[in-house]
Amino acid sequence: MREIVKKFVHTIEEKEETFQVRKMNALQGSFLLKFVAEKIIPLIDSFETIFVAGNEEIDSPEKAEEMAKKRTETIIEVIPKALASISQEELYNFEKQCLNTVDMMKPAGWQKVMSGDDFCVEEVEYDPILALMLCFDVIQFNFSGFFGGGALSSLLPRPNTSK
Amino acid sequence: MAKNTSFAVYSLPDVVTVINNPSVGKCVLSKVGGGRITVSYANDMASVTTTATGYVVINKLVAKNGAISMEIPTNSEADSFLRKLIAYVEKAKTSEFALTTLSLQDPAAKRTLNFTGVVPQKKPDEGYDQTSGNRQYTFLFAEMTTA
Repeated sequence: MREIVKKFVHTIEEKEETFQVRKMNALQGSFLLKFVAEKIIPLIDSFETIFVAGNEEIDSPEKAEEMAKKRTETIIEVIPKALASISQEELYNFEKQCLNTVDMMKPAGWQKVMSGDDFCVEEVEYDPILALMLCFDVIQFNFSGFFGGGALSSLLPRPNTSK
Repeated sequence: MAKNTSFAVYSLPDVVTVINNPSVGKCVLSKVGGGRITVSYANDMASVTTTATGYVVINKLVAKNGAISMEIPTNSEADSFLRKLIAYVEKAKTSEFALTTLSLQDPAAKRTLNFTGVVPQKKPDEGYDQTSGNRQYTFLFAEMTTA
């Protein structure tokens, strides 16, 4: 069965919040791919920690925690570089398109993060870093096959399994 | 500045109605099916006490709370959100009952009405007819402030 949603956990004000990313359809996905190919592939060095490390085996909770921390740190480091080459309009469209496919788990149930141009949860509305991290989750989920084992695998640094 | 036009412009579709509950989420009702909105205060802001001799005392009263009633088309996204909101506050802890806020921004009048302590007064009636109708949602609010 094809995986249609994937859950991601982010820490907001020391509280773990669950988000789910709904898979984009092929047409929406190709818009995103075009954007990713143009703007983000130049930053491929950092992809080892962001994308490939996600496929590594996690055998202990400590390791999972460490990897999640490393991933967050790398994303925060990569974002300014990625932003430099993107115009405001492109960024708005990109974020809007990504965040429209994300839901957040609220006490009352799943709630869309964005609906059209409007935010539907305050946690993301006033947290630009979290919004961008969710966009990365969307890219990771929609293109993990592409980056992990597909067309770009030869370009990507191999996960280091000797450690 | 003196007004040099003899008319004013009003546009309901431009009025942005946002309802927000920290545990349910946020919904821009005006974009997903919000219709007619009526806000009414529950109490008078003044009353008068008169004596038998005709002496008058004017009482200045505080009026902050009231009711909002909204017409929402059946099965619209706004309807789904409000159903979810009402179902949640009904079952959630009492401390969460009155955390909902609502704001009405009227850009034409440059006026924003903010309501706090918004609670559903009653669940809207259900009606099934040949064509869809509007559901009447009535909320009570503890305080209205104008910005």
